[in-house]
Amino acid sequence: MIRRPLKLVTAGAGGVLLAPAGVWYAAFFVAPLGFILVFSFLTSADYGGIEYTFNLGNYPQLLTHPIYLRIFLNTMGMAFSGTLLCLLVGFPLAYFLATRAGRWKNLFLVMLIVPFWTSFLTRTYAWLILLSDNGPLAHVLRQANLLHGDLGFLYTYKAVLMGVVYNYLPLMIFPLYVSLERLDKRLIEAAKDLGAGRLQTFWRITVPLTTPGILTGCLLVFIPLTGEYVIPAILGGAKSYMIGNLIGDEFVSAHDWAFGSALGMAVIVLLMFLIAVYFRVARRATTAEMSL
Amino acid sequence: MSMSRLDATDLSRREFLELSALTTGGLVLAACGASSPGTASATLGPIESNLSIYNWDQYLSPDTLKQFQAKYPNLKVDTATYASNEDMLAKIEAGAKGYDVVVPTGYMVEIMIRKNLLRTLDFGQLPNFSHVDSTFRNPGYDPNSKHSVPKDWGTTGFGYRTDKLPPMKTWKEFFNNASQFKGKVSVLDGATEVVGMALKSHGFSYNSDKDSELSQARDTLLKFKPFVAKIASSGYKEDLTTGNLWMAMGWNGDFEAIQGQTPAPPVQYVVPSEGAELWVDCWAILASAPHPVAAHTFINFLLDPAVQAQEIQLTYYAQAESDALANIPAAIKNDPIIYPPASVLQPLETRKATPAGQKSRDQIFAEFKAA
Repeated sequence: MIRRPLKLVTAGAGGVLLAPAGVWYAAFFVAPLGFILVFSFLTSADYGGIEYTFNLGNYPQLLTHPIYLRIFLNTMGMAFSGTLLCLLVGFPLAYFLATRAGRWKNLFLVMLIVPFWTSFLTRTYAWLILLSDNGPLAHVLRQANLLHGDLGFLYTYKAVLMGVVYNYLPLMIFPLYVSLERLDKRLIEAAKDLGAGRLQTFWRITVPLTTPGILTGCLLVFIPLTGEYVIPAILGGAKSYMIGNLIGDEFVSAHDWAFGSALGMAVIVLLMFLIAVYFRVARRATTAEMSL
Repeated sequence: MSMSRLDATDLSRREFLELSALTTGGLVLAACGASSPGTASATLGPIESNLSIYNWDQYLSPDTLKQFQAKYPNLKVDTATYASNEDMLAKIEAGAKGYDVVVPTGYMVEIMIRKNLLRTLDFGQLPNFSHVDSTFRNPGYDPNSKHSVPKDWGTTGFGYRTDKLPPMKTWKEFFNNASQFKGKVSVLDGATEVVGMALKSHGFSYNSDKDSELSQARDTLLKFKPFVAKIASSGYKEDLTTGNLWMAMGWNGDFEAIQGQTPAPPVQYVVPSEGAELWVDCWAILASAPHPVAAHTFINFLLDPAVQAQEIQLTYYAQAESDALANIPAAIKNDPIIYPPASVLQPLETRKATPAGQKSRDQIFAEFKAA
């Protein structure tokens, strides 16, 4: 009874607080999404544009042509391997920062952020020069007699994965760092007191307790990776054509707005499915943590 | 020469590119001006105070722009750039407003006319059109030049490193020899160019819409794909110079720019004997242009033979005015890459767009990219 007027106040204040973001999302997220959804059931005009004729053919086209499925699979493969690599590189670093860096910790954290002061495109283009067959890296390796002939790294799938790890690593490290930092060190001591070895402590204490951080990091890397467009285009040459590149081409080069919209919707549905899986796993992880 | 050749090698005509496409995506859609679209037959009044030029990058000499502004000091000129005809069309079609002058290639002029995106030109305001050679006055893509005037023209062929590869003359060699130097070949990022050249390698027309011929082109491309390093319309100049690439499909002006460097890398440009594409880039005014008088004034200024002679020293693309030749340095006008002899021009074709043919090309190209 006492809470009732209070509730009214919060509801009103809540509305005010939500309004700016609400208007923003309605205008720049929900409305465009609505367009894409509607376009995906219409017909493309010749050389771009849309005709307002109902058309169910855009989605079947996606399933009947094996090339599109292959592009989806390639993209998912790239996103999974990119995420896994970021985790393998990022976890030890985050662990070091949270437990061993001592008074240098802040310096290291700043060093992780500094590269972001330069534009993402500039940094990615810089790799073009570094990895070039006659670039600085090739020269050093040749001088050291470690390389004969061409470097042959640029415009390959390996170059794309390297660019992905380079650009996405901080997105993985920060959530990992936060959850490792918050980890109650006494639990680790307790595990040791009870006779657990280092590995056992790591697998049975550290990893389960930092699972939320691991999942968040993976999600932050994986989702934007499924739409990654720039890194494959710059570093991958002809070797890695991803969904993002295909959608861009459908709208701009192939003038097929309706099919491009259907592809966009397919990516959204796929991601929604993967996020649902994520929440399920995350909830289980948190429950496990609670019961600990 | 006001522009050194080295300046021109920094960025190519079509190079700003991708970069702009990648970074700005659709953001450019936001309108710059808000004036009602000019109708084709409206009588033109006095010159406006603004002009907005939407062009390929590095495709208008800064000197020309300076001279134009000196002549019309009260006119404020804005420039914006795009990476491909398709890029430009997509933005205009999605409703980008405020641009006056655009630079579509011939086939794109045809498409834009069909979509009512171009304004009928008022030749009373273009007295310098009299300098344009008669061969360019009634092009197939724009009968009687009602909507466009030629800016320059060139060829699409390929170039290769003569220190790495034996002499080559044909598209057949381009596609078939690639297996011997895997990861050293690039093609343009254009369905029409890539599928068209594969058609040419079989001796078919660049514009063929026959399923049987297109499927042979497709087979050639899929066999060729494993050896391709890059599908891009920019950067091949630098990659050929450094040796990242040994062979690349591209536009003649870019190869001219490579050879203009000191020291000149050993790169040879070829217009293959089966034929290739001859393209004409055009000045045109958008139907939605808010400043049509300024746009006409600008195009007329560009058609001045002295200005044309200045432009070629930036772009290395041939002009459509014989009157300009007197002012063009001999090294450029006698260069067979820029002004090819009649025997080279004879088998060339210009692109003719049909919706069905485009659809098949786009599908083959998507398959090529994903393979």
